[in-house]
Amino acid sequence: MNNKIPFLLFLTALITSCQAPIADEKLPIIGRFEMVGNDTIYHEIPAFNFVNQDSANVTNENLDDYIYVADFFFISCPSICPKVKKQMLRIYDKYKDNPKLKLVSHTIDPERDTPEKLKQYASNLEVDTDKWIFLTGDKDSLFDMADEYFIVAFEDPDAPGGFDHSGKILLVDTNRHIRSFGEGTDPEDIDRFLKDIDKLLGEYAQE
Amino acid sequence: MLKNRLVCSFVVLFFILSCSEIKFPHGQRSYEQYCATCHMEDGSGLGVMVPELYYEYDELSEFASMPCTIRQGIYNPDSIFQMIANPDITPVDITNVLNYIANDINKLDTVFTLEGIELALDSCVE
Repeated sequence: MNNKIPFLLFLTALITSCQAPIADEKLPIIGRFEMVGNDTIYHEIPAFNFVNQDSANVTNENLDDYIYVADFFFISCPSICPKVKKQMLRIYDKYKDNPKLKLVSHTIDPERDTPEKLKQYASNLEVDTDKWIFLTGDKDSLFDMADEYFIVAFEDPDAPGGFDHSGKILLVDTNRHIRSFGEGTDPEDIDRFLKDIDKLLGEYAQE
Repeated sequence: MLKNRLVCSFVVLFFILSCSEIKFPHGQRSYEQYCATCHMEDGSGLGVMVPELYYEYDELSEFASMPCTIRQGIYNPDSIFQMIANPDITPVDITNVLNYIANDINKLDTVFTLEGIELALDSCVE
């Protein structure tokens, strides 16, 4: 009988070791990092300067005080974009009244997606552009920026709509570190992503 | 013994019922292929850009124009987002899709026939 106890303990250890990290553990910082002396340099979103739906400049400094959820899309996108936008809309609806969080959608088709078009798109989504910003700008900068967010985006005449890109949705903290990402085409994955947003908001609530 | 049999038949019945939950599985497949990207898997659409596909009994007449709409798309110069045409979709697929929308996404208990859909397609205005 007593022999069973070590075995049961072992079994418990095995089961619990497979479980997700405990709830109050912080979200990781995503991306490669370097060790410089005793400091760890994490991947961070570089400074940027884009134009929003009202033709106003938006830089990284405008987002300094916020955590934000970012995605890449283009308006005429016939493939995954509407599904991703639906999930962005879900995030928007959930955090509409939370002043700490913003949403940032970057177009990868600046030639067609002018500020006017982006404004119309936002009004068709019936969202407040103070909360959910739509950005366009120099095409190379936008593609470079997609790279920084680990989004694969490139022009491809064979792809539906002329661009190929992944439907990831990213969570960025006030230090411009990526803390989580979700698959925008998969509502269940966004369920988990929403919990990560809550977790990150919790870090700031404690301060 | 009798009790066991009873339980067994209930289990079998349960499985049969749960398998036939979707009335038009072929329609579901085609819907996911042609429609769900914009209208979403549950038919909820996207803002005012993509209309939802929810209908009541008294709106059944709206299905009449759908075969042509599915095939030709909608071009609205005032809208930022256009419904694309599906010139290659077959009448069988359209029938299945509309039956799926009417009976699975909505619970309208209305079955469209292939003949009816073909007739509607014949009268599409180019």
